[in-house]
Amino acid sequence: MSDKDKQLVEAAKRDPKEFAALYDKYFDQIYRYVYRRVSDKETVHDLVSQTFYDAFSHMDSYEWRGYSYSAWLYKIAHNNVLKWYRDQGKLQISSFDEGLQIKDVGMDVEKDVQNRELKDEIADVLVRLEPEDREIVRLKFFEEASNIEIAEIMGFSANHIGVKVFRALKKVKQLLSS
Amino acid sequence: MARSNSKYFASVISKLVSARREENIVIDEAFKMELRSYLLTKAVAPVSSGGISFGEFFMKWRFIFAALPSALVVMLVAAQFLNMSVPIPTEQMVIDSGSKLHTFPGELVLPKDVLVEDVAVEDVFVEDVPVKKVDVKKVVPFSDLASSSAPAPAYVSQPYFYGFPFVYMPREVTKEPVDSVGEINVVDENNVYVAPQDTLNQTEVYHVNDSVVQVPASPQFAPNQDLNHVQIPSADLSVSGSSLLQTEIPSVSQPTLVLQVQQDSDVTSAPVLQVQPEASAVLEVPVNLAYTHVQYLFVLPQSQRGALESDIIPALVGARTSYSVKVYDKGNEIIAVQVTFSDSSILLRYYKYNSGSGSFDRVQYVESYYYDDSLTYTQN
Repeated sequence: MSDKDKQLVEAAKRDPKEFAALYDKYFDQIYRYVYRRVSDKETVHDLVSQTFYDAFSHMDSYEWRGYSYSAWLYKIAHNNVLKWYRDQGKLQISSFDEGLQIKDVGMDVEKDVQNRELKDEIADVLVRLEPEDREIVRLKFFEEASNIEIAEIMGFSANHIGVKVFRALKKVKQLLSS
Repeated sequence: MARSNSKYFASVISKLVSARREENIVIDEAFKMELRSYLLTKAVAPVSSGGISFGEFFMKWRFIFAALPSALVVMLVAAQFLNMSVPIPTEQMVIDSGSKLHTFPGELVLPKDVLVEDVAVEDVFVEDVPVKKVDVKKVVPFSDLASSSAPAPAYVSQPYFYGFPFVYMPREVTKEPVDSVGEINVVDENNVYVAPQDTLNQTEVYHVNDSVVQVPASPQFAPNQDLNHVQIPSADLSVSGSSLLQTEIPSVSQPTLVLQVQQDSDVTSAPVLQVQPEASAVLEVPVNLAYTHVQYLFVLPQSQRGALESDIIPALVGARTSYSVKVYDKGNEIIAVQVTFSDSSILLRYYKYNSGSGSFDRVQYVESYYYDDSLTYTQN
């Protein structure tokens, strides 16, 4: 965790109003993280609200353990998403098709077509991956989390997270080549 | 990981990164601001119970809250069985007795008539009786009686202390020559004892039915009468309606010893002293009543005893030959020498041994009594 994050966290512990700085810094990341995993916008709002409320109300329980504050927020969001899926009684199906919206590239139709093909290909691969591998790939390449942060978010040992990332990428490559 | 496997997963990573870069997730700014203001409102609101709201606290301990009424009922029933003292509101203890009731924070003082048999509390209501000083005088000098026109001494109240949380009430003091009394008969700086005034010529006065009867205080000796008999004048002490009447005069016979020396016809034998009572008087010796007795009530070294008996005691007794001496320790190397003469008069002196001179030095000694409230009462 950077010194800037440490200062923000300490300030938020002293004065709850200072939590606004952390909120402004990490809201977009958490919003996208949740948006990539649920299908509808209302559910995204509910889960994002629950995530930041939990982070705000349990601010005193946060301790520095070698990973960033964003990893702590990701872990809260991750648990909320899993809980939502359990409550819905259905498997965690990727909403990548909905979340991975292709940017409007204007009038470049050829590039637009290529992006749509890439989108379909990645979405198909992620759907076919095991949930654990899929989450590792998302955290690693979409959330740009480090191995330590991935281990903290998913509750893995930091010594084995490298092997897990390697195996997940290997499966993605096999699926893409097939 | 990505770097070490960059060549092997280059194509895969390229596609994933491209997919992330090309994704377009629109942030709902309205929702973002709404949630932000909500959290700030929560931050401004007071957080109770260390971050836990009262509702959460109540839900957490709801079982205890539910058990409180039952616990109170159980305690009351147990108190009835065990006859425990239950605090009673002050209003319920007011007794309509017409007496003034003084109440203070945390305590209740009931009127005196309510606390009849409570001995412990009775002490609280000791009446503020003025202190009396009683001097026991059975013998009233005749001269004082004759000058009865003099005004009686004004009553002087004893020291009385107010403003303290207690009432100081010294006991009635009767002046009597006891050991604990301080120095008496201090009239001569040279340690020469001066006997009290002779009361042979004084009379005792008795008041009987508004009449005054004067009786000589001591037996009167007639110089021409037999010394073996003591005459006590009679006096009519009869009281109207009483059969008390002194009719006989007691007589006292002084015993005598008769010593007779007889010379036997045998020249070789030694003279024999024979004592023949009621025989013909050859030599008559009255009984010698002189006595001296020194009693040590503590261990005193022999050298100090010698100094005491050779210097101090003779100086105290003077020409008197009948006396008894008690020597006791007063602490701090101070000894008390109490001489009691045959007429029951007492002389008390205090001394401290001077090891340099080998003699006793007289010291002034005042006994003090200390009370717990640090008030010092000195008895003269």
